[in-house]
Amino acid sequence: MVTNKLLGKRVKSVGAKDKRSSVFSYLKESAVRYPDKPYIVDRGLTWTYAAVYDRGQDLARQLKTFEVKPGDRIILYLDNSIDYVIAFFTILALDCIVIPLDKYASQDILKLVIRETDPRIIITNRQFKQKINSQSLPDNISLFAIDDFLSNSAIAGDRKSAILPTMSKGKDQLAMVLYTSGTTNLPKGVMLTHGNLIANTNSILGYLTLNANDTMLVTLPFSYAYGNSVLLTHTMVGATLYIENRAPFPEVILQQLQLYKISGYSTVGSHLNVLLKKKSITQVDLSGLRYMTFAGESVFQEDIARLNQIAPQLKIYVMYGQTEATARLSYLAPELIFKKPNCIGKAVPGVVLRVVNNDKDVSPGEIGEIIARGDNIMQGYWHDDEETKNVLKDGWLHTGDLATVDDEGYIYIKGRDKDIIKISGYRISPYEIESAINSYEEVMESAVVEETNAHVSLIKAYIVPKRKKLNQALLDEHLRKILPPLKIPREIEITDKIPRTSSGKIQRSILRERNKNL
Amino acid sequence: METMDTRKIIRGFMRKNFLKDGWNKDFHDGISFIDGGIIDSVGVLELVAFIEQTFSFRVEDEEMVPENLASIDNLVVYINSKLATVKS
Repeated sequence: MVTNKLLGKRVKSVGAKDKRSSVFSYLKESAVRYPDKPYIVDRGLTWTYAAVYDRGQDLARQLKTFEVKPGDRIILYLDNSIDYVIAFFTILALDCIVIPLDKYASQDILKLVIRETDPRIIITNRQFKQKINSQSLPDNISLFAIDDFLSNSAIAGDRKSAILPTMSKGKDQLAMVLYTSGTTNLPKGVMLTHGNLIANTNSILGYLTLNANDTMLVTLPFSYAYGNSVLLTHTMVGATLYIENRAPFPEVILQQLQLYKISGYSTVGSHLNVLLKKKSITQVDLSGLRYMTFAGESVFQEDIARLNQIAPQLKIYVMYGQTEATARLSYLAPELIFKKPNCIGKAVPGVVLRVVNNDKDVSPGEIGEIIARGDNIMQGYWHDDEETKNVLKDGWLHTGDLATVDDEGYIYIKGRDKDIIKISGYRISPYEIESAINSYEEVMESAVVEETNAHVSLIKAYIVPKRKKLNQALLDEHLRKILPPLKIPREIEITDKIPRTSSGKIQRSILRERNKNL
Repeated sequence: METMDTRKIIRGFMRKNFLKDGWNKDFHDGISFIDGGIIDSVGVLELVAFIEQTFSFRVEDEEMVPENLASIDNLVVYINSKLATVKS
């Protein structure tokens, strides 16, 4: 039990009653309970829970020939696919540690992760293997093209001798090292145990009432914390996942939501913005869609309002979290989405959140840092004790996110500490200004940072216009209807690209560096 | 505009904006941008903006599909057919 200082209540650990020690149990139990139920639909093929479990056992027998042992790291360098899901659970069945890498990972990131984690095997496919062959891999690292294995071998194993995790360290055994997207620094490997993953899965299911009849259209990468939580929650309840990698083409997403009568869709705010720009969104039948979740970046309140107009039956969940917290830290109940605009809600079950300034809980309206405690908090960063000590202090995760709290204890994000703009003693969130700029019709996207010019701090906006020219006078007029004078950008730079991480987050640190070098 | 010009223009744009990082020697015009992890949703918007500005036609919502946009081969076919429609 821990005490929630915002509420003054004692909060139960969500993991306490869950007797599972391994995330692999999710697949095993669903394969027993729902053997013939569709689990993964990928590129037109449907895999049942039993089929995925059996194929995973085949793969486990094959990987054992590489002499893997408990605790070995295995990199999973695959796009969302049946291959990924089979390999993910197989690695856990072998008591090994999953290190997922997404398809947008650069050569530098590949090299960094391989060097830092010293994997035993890199599981990939024929296409991605080309990107790795150019590296000089040490002899002890094996490359395994899973599509070759899955297409060539039939199920041939002895089902009586199942390969199951031994879990010698119980829930404390390391399950994954998830590399963060590195908005401010180099990516860091977040160490998550089976206990972390199980706790957070239980927390999410505590408010998101999923069941075996649910279907999810998966466009979020499984290799990120958000997508990983979608995989685990849906596997645990026996739901069906439709894998859709054509997310860059919003027309396809809308068609798939209609065609498969999808009941749930999880995505990020910028993707919703793109979907809402499609004329066809008012023409597709979204009546099957029961809920949508948003996390990973801020979602514009105007977009939520428009979504609610188009699909009033939808329960809309705005959520917040960090990879360092496995995934989820807070959610806003759907019934509060318009009563508490731009709010990330309160702590998920089993988590305690505080907003502090100099270790003291803030008063309503005062800005402080969000800190968190719960069974979902990471063990630390892989081989980086110094950075771990910077964020894990006295049992609390220091998120680096700044927020305010209202008088009912609901939390409102104001920005990343390093992204906050300080003008004339005021702390200004770049998100607010970007939202205003992006609402101007001629703007595709923007990023706002603080710039120092002759010892004076001012707001600079980088803008990608929809067409070659942007009428800055009209933009200024538009902004002055929305923002107070203090928040109007004093400098605008037209650019053809905003630097972003592979998960789509704006890298303001790069823009700040660019300013320094001028 | 000849097919070779279209192909050259699109290749130039993709190489400059999306194909920076170790894919150059293995890339060919038939590779899917999606399967190869070459382009994301913001990248598709940038590509569409480039096509509209360079070839002076509007890419309709229903045309923003992988069959038209997800490889250089697909793009060349799509753009040339649009240009032929615009001319006639």
